Amino acid sequence: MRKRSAVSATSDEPELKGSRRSPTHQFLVGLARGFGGALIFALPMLMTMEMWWLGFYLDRFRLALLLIVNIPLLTLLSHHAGFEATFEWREDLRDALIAYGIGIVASVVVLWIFGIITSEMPLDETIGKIAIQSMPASIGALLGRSQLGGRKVKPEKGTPEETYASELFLMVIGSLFLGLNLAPTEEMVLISYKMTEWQAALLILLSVMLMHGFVYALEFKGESTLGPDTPWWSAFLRFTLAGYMISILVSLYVLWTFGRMDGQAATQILMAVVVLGFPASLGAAAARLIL
Amino acid sequence: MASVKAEQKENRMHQKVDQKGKPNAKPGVIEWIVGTISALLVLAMIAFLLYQAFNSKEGIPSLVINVDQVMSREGGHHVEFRITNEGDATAAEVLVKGRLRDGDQVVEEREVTFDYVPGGAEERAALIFMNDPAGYDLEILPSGYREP
Repeated sequence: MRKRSAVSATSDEPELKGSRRSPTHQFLVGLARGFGGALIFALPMLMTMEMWWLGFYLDRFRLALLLIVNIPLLTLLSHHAGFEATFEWREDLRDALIAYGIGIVASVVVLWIFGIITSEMPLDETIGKIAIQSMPASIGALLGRSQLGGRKVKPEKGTPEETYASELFLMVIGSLFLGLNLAPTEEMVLISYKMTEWQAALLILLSVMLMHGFVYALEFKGESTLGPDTPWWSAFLRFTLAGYMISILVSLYVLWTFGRMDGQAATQILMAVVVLGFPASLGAAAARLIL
Repeated sequence: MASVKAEQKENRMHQKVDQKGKPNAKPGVIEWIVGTISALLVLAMIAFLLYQAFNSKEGIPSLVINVDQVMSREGGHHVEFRITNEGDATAAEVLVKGRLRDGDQVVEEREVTFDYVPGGAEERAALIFMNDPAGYDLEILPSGYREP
C-alpha cells in the first residue's frame, strides 16, 4: 500500500484487510469515523447558543482568518495522525480538506435538524453559523478518523527539534480541544469580572502546577520524550511552562477571534485569557491522553 | 521503537557538546529558548496582575457617555454613543436612558441596557428616537447598574 488512502480505515494492517475490503468500502468507513469524530468534538459547540450568535455577529475578517488558519492546522494534524512516517504534503492536505468537508456537512446537518439554520435566513447568517462550527467539527473529523480507527496521534520521531516542535503542536490541538468548548460562553468573561487580580495570579500558579502533574504522569508512563534522568526543572521549563504559554496564546487568539476582548482594558483581557487558559492548559497537558 | 529512541538520545548527546557546561543539557538549544521565553512571559503576567492588585482602587464603576453622531433612517433617528467605564470595577446590566426635552417637557424617552461595561472598557450602542434630536435638547445618562 504505497499511498495512504484518504480517510483510510485500515492503514494499520493494510496487507491483512486490504485484500478483503474494496477501497470504496475503506473510504466509506473512514468517512463514518470522520462524522463520529466531528460530532464528539463539536456537539458541545453546536449546542451552545453563543456559538450561533457568533455566527452572525462575528467580525467577517476574523472569521475568514479562522477558516484559513484551520487548513495548515488540519494538514499538520493529519500528518501527525497519519500512519506512514513520510511527510507527503499533498496527501496530508487532501486528508485535511476531506476532514474540513466532513466538518461542514456535519455542522449543516446538526444545525438544520435543530432548526438553527432555516431556508428563510439570510445567506450571510447561515454561512456564518456553519463556518464557525466547521472549524472544531473538522478537527474532530480528523481526530475521529485516527482515534476511532484505533490509532493514536503521536509526536514526530525526527531530530530533537522536530520532536519538540511536534510535542508543542499537539499541545496546541489539546488546548483547542478544551478551550474551544468554553471560549464562546459568556461565563469566560463573567468569571474574569468576578475574580480579583490576586485570584487570577493564583489561577496561573494552579494551572502551571496541574500541568506539571500531567507532564510528570506522562513521563512516568514513558510516553514522553522525557527520560528518567531528566531533572524536574528541565521538564518544567521545556514542557510545562512552554505548554502553558501555548495555551495562553491559543486562548488569546480564540478570545480575540470571538470578539471577547474588543474595547477591554489590558487587565480584563489578561484575566479573561488566564481564565480560559485554565481549561486550555489542562487540554494541552493532557493532549497525549485525550488525543 | 527502542532503537529510534536510542538514536534520538544519541543525537542529543551530540548536541550536548555544543552547549556550555550544563550537566543535563541534552535537549536542543531551541527547547531552552522556548522554555526561557515562556518562563519570562509567565512571570511578567503574574507581575502585572500583582501590580494591578496593589494599585487598583477598590472602587465603583465610573460611567461616562459620549454621543458620536445622529444617523437619520426611515423609522427613526439613531443616536450613536459610546459608554466608557473609567473606574476599575465592572458594571453589569447598565441601563442607559436618553431623553429629548423641549424646555421642561420630556418629548420622548428611550433606553438601552448593556450586559457588561467592564472596568476600563468602552462599549458602543444607539438609541432610536422618533423625533429628530436636532430640534430638542438631548440628554443621555446611565440610570443604574448591578455588580456582576
